[in-house]
Amino acid sequence: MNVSLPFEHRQSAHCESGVISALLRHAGVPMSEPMAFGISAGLTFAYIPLVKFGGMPMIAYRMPPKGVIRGLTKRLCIRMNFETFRDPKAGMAALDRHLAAGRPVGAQTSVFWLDYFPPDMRFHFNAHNLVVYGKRGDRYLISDPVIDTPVECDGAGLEKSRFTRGMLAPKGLLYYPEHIPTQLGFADAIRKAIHFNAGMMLHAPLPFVGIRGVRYMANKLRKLRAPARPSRNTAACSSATWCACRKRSAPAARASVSCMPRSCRRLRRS
Amino acid sequence: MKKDEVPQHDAKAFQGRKKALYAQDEQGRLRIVPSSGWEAEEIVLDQAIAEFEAQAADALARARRGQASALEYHMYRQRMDVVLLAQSTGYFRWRVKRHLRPDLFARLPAAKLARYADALGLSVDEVRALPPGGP
Repeated sequence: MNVSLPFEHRQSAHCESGVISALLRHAGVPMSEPMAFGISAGLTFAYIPLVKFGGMPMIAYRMPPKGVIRGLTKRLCIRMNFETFRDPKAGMAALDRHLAAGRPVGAQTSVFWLDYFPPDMRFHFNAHNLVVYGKRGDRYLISDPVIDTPVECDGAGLEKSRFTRGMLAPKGLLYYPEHIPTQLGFADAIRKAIHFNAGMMLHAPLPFVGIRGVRYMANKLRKLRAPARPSRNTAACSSATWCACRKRSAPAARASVSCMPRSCRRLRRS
Repeated sequence: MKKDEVPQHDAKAFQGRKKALYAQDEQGRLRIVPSSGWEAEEIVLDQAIAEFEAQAADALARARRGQASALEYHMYRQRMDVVLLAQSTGYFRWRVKRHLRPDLFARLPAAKLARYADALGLSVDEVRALPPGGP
């Protein structure tokens, strides 16, 4: 099968907002990544020591995966189609059908099995998002919003990425906007999003979310001691530094908050 | 952050690729600015990878002495740990831990090996084998 749908690739800072804004732009809606993120009210803060990623407490500064897509489309009354699959073969066949029908689709994948990622950036993180817009032979044409150019991935790698198991398993998720109203109520959506965001940051009923979460973590940081086993700590920082996509799972935040360069060097020396 | 303050530290891991960051241009508007990497991120990333590599090297040394199974080596080499491998195979954690024992791993039936091979993205023969070299 050879299909290459016209699709404008634009690099973005984060995968989910990048994919949904690209899909909407493709459908003719003027939508930048920051606007998509804003209307979705995807910004948040949560410090959850009970949930650990690689031994480190979770620090989130965006809503959980799918939160951006859901928030944005809900406020603009856009109906999305989400499909998940039990059988990988059926999932790949469905992807081919969408492409044959001339429809680029968003997909949730793992990062580890995508061969176009630089090897040092591949970790087992399952909530990455990308757009598949074509297929050449066995290779799929992919617009990955965190990569600076359009890329290709072989079918086996893409299948493995879409059907990894474990936390946040993608289950082959495919999605695309199914119905977009002719009149989009931007003004109303923006107002509601800001209201929602402010409410969440200021009045969340949980002590580890929003501004109270920031204070809670700040206090914890102040009490922080150098860990007995520095290597363990860095392993945790590890799991996801590079990809803006990982904003939620915090590793990027870990990088910026818990492991400033100087303190890292100190850890290394000790 | 201003446009010219965006870190450009040429991270090795990016392999020449750029990452998109938002920064203010001359008119104060936020625009995407390509970044070639940030030192802080690179340090953390390097340490993360070094940790996996150290674990894999340790497992390899023990596997050569017959104190660990090849599975443990491949697990770390594919940047997994027991929790992740358990999740990706559907086995319980205690079961994966048991299978890391060399004597039990050697007796694993092909079907179970295939499940590990699939989760690790290797062939069954690769999962059984250690890399050439060494004693």
